[in-house]
Amino acid sequence: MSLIIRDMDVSYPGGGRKVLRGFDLDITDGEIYSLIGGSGSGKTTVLNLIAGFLQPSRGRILIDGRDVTDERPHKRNIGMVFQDYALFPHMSVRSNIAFGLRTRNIPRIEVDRRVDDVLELTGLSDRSGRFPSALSGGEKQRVALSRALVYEPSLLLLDEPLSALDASLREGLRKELRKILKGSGTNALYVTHDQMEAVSISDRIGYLRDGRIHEEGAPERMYWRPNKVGTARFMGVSNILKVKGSKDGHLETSIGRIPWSGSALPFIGFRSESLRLSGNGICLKCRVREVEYRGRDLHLDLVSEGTPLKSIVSGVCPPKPGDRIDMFLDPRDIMVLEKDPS
Amino acid sequence: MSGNKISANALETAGLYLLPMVFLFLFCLYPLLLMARYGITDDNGRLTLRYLSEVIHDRIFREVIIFTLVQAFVSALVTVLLAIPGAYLLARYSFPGRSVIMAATTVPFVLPSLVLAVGFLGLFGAQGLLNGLIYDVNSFLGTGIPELELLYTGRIIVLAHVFFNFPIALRILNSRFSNLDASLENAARSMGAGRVRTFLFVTLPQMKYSLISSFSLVFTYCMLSLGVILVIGGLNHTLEVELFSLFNDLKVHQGSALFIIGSLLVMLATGIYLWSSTREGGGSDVSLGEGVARKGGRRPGAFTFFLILIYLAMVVIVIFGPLMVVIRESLLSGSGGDITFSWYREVISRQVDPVLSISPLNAILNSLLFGSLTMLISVPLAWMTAHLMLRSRFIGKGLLDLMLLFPLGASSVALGYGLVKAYSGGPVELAGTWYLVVLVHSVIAYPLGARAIYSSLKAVPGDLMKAARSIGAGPLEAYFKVKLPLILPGILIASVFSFAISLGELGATLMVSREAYITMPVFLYRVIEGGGRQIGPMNAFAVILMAITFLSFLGIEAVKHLFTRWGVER
Amino acid sequence: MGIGIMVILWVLGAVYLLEMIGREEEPDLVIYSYESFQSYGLGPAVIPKFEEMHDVKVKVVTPGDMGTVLGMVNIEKDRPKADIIIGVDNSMLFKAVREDLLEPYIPVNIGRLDPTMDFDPGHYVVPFDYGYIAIICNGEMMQERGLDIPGDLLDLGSDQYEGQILLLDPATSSTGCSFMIWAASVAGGNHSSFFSDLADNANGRVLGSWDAMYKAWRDGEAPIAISYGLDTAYEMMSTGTNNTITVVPEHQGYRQIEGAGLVKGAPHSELARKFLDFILTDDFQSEVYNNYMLPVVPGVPIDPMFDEYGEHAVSHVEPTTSEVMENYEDWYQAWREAFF
Repeated sequence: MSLIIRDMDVSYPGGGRKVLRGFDLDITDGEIYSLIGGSGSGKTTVLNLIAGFLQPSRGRILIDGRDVTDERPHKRNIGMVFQDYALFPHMSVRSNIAFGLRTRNIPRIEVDRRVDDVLELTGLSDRSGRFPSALSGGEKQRVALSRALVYEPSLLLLDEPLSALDASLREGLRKELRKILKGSGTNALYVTHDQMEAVSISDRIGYLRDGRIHEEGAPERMYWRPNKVGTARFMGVSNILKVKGSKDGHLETSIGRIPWSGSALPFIGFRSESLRLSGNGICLKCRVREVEYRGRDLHLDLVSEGTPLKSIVSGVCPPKPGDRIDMFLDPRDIMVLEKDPS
Repeated sequence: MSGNKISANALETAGLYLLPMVFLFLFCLYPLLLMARYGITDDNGRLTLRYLSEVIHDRIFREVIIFTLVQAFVSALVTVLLAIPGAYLLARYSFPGRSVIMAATTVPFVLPSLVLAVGFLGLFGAQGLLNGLIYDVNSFLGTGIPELELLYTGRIIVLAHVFFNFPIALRILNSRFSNLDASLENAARSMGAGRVRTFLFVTLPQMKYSLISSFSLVFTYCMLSLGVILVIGGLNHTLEVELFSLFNDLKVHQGSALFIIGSLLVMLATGIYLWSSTREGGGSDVSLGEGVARKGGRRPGAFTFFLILIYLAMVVIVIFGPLMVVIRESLLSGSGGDITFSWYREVISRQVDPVLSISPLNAILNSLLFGSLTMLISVPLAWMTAHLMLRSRFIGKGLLDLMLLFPLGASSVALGYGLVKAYSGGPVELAGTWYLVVLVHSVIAYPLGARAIYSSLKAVPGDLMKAARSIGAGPLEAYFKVKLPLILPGILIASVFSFAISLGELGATLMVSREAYITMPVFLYRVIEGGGRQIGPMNAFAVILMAITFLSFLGIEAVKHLFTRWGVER
Repeated sequence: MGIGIMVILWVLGAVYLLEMIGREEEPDLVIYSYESFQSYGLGPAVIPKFEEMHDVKVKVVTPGDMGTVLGMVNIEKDRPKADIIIGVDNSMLFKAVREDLLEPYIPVNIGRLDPTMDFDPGHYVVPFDYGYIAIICNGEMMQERGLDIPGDLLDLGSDQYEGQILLLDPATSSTGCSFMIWAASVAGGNHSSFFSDLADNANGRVLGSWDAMYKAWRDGEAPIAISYGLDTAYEMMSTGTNNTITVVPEHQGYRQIEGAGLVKGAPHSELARKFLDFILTDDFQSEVYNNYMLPVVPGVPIDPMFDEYGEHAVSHVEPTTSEVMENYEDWYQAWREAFF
């Protein structure tokens, strides 16, 4: 099972701007791949390309080794889950799910069996006779997923499938979604603008920027050790500092010397939760500018040697604005970042 | 490669436009252009501005033009002003019977105009119900209430136009009121603005386009109405009536010149309507027949409820009053006040009318056949047009779409005359055939159907088709299994419109239908005009025409409910 | 699929029915006329005679009043469907001639025609009946309202008749057209001011067809109206009472002479000419009383009631067709100016 996209260009008709240029993507072995990126970065375009709703001006798409670039959408054997579910309002849950099996001319008994199976898997057995208008958001979401999975597609495309749900519901569904996807063993391309969702759901994350994959990797690495400044920013690394120079295995920065053995790179960064009120490592003298309570967490706006820093701490006796405090940073939490290619 | 694709796409678009455009050209534009030609050429075919200048410099023609504009303006104004409170009340308050009222307002829209004319004759005539009442009151109480002299005046034309167009304005405005963001009003109220101030300065400005579009649509209809003015308008000629009598007076050149001037004016109004209806809240997504009244809404307070009651009572009286009169007169025997069914028996007896050389029953049968065949042509056309209107933009698309809806603003008299002229005596002989009647009805009916289908098409989320395709349905399968069921309500509404329009059309049908193919409205018109004939059969015939229209409407409405039981969220 | 088959069956059924409805024996002669030609009984009286005489089938089409008939012939000009138009009178003939709708024909028995009826030197139509245009008054109402019976046409301009007169639109009604030409001829150069007076007295009560006007008159809408010299006779024959006062000015009479003409390019012109020959025979002329009109062939017997109650004039003011053609637009313009 595989999806391979090679050297793909897409530009919108009329407008000269290329949405994708030299775009490559590989998904294999039942993995869940999340494509993240800002709005307008072309995430949905990628889905539409793979699904066949859009034609590339250059490049090939291979699904399971078969070139589907010129194949029509319904011949590609993919499943797709839409942001607003796109359930057929005039069909019951059962008919919605059976739709893909019927188009494949599968015998009725077989259809019923497989629909029952998938209803079981997604816990919708008691909803099968309902129409979509009588379902809750979470149920709709599961119907949409069932509908796309039931005929065992070569590839499942998910377009921000959780974004229409309440925040509380969303977090619960992440785990369930991953379980269902992994259980089906289908390759999945998951598009989202929410990096936390991507991290918790996927096997691999690709950051889409300027029409191609900017950087990709396992969720932990993308979260803690991105290689590029842009990726770091998108992944929510709020402290990014310029490297002034390098000497004797150290990088010179405004917050001091950071041990570094590799070749000199222009930036370092660390997540705000890495800057702690106590602990070991580098000690930074900071002045508190602002404190924002966010329930369990405190968001601190700090200045150290003229450099603004952000920290998230959970403390019982929080500092007040104007306080001068020591903050600690474990050098292992520091990431060294490449410049983004322009 | 991409170049090829773009041109292939352009080719596809051109191909899709071809069929409706050819139909439109053959059966609407060409005949109308042919008509217009008479206005700018003399008998020898030489170009001349003589007739145009004659028409412009003639005081009476000028007055006809001015009267047409004034009555249309006043009618549209009164209609919209009357509709605003109703639309607001229906959108903001929930009370028992709200949906019934909404459904009742569809009645005038599908009612053949001559039925109303007959009703008004019975209601306002010198011997009519109201004057009879006034006479009784005067002689009983000794009061001196003057007789109503509404018949044959401009006021009764306005009254009739308000009757017909009130529902359209109500629907467009109601839909806009329902979709307005109530939080804006709440914000204004919280800042201390009173109810009236809020309505005037916060609510109404957001209604701008829906007001413009409902006004211009009603204006267009009032410019073009014929039957009702012909029968109860007396000497008050509008352009359409003047055109009709000029053609019968063999003054084709003057008639055509007048037609040219009238068309320009109507096109302006139609253009404003089409423009404003595509703006936000302009009502392009509104179509009659849909239950627009939403769930929710405040429960009215006692005073508001009182206002609502008064308003609704008024609406019900205005809508059903004339119809009740028609039914009453159809059941009254000529001599006394006895109830009799003899008029109906007379109508259904298959007695061939010596003058019309066809029986009333035959006219009914004709109308039913024409109506059903019209549906069959105009609904597919409307369906195609609706799809074209939703296609992605390209240069000149606006103009093409405007053209596709052109018959909305076409003079039916000129269209009928032009069609006979265009397809008589040449290689294609259509004059006097039944298919010409069907064709002209289809041309007149399809733009309205297109708007109905367009609004339901627009309501189908784009992702549904994508979903069907990605799941494995081919384009046709996806269309028939997903989109078609969802736009079925729109298609059914378009069918009702087509049927109702075919059943009520007078102007063009008078021109194109011959002897055996006389329709119910033409029959009714001839019966009314041949003043020597009796009131009873005339009313009985009007009741039958009315009943058939409503029954078909209810039938299709029932089918619609059957198909929409899933309760699509809109 | 069931629906598809139903739709197809339905279409086929509808088309079949419509074809059946439209199907008729191909007629050998097609006549267009005004409605009352059929409803009063002249058509049903003479057409079967002609059909039997020549063993042919004649179809009579009555699309409305005479204006509508001419309008229809005019639309069909490029491919005429009618062979004969019946009812083109001395007032309206000029329109048909101007639009080139008719083919001249002199019937073989033209000698039978009363020479004073021969209003058409171009022989576009063959006269078949005539009647005097008259002022009719409802005797009871005139007395009630204290109105004088008008002695001649110009009296109708008098102030005492304000709101008391029903008139006809000359554009749509042939009676109205005749009346307008009569009034213009009688008033001479003063026709504009006479029309204004008439308009004041009619006060908006101007109707489109004689049928509608006559009904309104009988319903008591106004006591005075425009009709025919045989109206008293008609009332006597149909109701046996005599409340109608019919006024035909003795020295300023206007005869509406009706004719039948051959349509230019008529599909059955040969038989049509035979029909025009038939018009001046006794078989036809003895039936024109059905139309409440008088025969144009001298010596044809007339109903004694017509003789007794019919009003007629001694001398006439009837402009020739060419005079009408010359002046009609001016007169009509003056009429419109006065009435609208």
